[in-house]
Amino acid sequence: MVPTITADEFEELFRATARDVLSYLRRRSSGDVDDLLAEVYAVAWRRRPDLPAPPLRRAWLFGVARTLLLADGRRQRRDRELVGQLAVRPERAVERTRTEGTAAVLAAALERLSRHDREVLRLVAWEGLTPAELAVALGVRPGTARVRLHRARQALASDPDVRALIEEPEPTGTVATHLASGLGRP
Amino acid sequence: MHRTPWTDAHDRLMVAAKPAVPEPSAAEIERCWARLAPTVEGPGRPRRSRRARIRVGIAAGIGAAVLGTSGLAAAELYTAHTGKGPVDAEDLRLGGPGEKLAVAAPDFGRVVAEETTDIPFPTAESRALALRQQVEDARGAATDEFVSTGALRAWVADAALCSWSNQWAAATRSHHETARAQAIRQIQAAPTWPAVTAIDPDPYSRMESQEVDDGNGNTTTEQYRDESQFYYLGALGEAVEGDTPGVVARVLAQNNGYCRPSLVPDLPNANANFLHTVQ
Repeated sequence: MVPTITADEFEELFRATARDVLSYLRRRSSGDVDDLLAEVYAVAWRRRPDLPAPPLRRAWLFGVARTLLLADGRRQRRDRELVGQLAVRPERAVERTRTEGTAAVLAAALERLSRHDREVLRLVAWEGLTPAELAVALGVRPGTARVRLHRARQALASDPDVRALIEEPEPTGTVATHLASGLGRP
Repeated sequence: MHRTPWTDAHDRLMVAAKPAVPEPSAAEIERCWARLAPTVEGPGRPRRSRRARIRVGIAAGIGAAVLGTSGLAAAELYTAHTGKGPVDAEDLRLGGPGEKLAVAAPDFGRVVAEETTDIPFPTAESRALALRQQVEDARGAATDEFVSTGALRAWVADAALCSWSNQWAAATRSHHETARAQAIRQIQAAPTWPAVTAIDPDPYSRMESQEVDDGNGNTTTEQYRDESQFYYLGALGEAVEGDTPGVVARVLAQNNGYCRPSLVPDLPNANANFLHTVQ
């Protein structure tokens, strides 16, 4: 097997992306993710012949991280015998954003989505992936990724509580402020 | 089911719901890389010599080898922690106190960071630089190389003093009295740092004599300077009372001698001796 990336190039990739990957893991896990971060790059090094073109590598790493989070969630679920835990343990991430008003409504709406729809929306909105990068992260064709994104968006937008947020914004300080100011827009 | 089109407002809602998480620090990234580096780089990557930095035990007039070997098998190397300390007084004197850490272990960087949290640095950035130096030095280490926590903490304390001296120089030049006073306090308190007292509770520099046999049955008495690990602290503490960066730089360059350039950007001459020795 011929390596497609040298050790120096891999270190560059690590230093260029590790912060984003670590933040990605922290947004989705309540535990110590240092081990997972190292595992993401250990897997990436082992699978270096599979690395995509440089512009898509960050997204590819998110895909590796997502797979490891799922496996970690399954392992923890087995270990702790906690019935009903979701594999990627998104509850804690949701809890962090759960404040009064808009965020609480959206968090609840996200929880009502399927795990896959929820992750598609997060990858695009939180990690800033383009549809092409989303395809790499999900390991699907670009057309499939676009369809999944479209469906996930439609599912969230159709949630009655989200519709209410959009159509009947609350007064200053809650929804109206968010929508008018566009705060947090990347 | 009623379908609602996705709009920019939905995008903004999603972004606003993005959880705030702690910003990854440089130290965290370095710790992770330290775990990965042995896998990625393999044994062939050149490793910077630590020779110039191995000074623990120099009080005995011997170039002490802090890094040593033991019978631990490579297969046991999962963590830098070995639970083993010095085996005898000689080991303690030459290798330093504390647990022997496996330098090549994947979590070496994390362990170094944990073991040195009490050593004060002016900034998080300077601490991260000092830790990174330790990690870089450990690259390519053999699986049977060990270093005591006492020696590591002493090296990191040296780096902290370089950083405080740098703050002192910058503050002295800019007449920033608060920062200057803080640096002086830290430097003059260094003899009480646990990382210092564990290695060198009573720093000294003095002339000693020894009998030397020339091999022909002739014995002569030679004088030599005996210096403890942190023997320069007294001179450094006095130098920072003044306002001449060159004097402080000279103490560090001549006595400590291995302030890395990145730690002393405002006191570049402080690392002259290090550069001369290593390169």
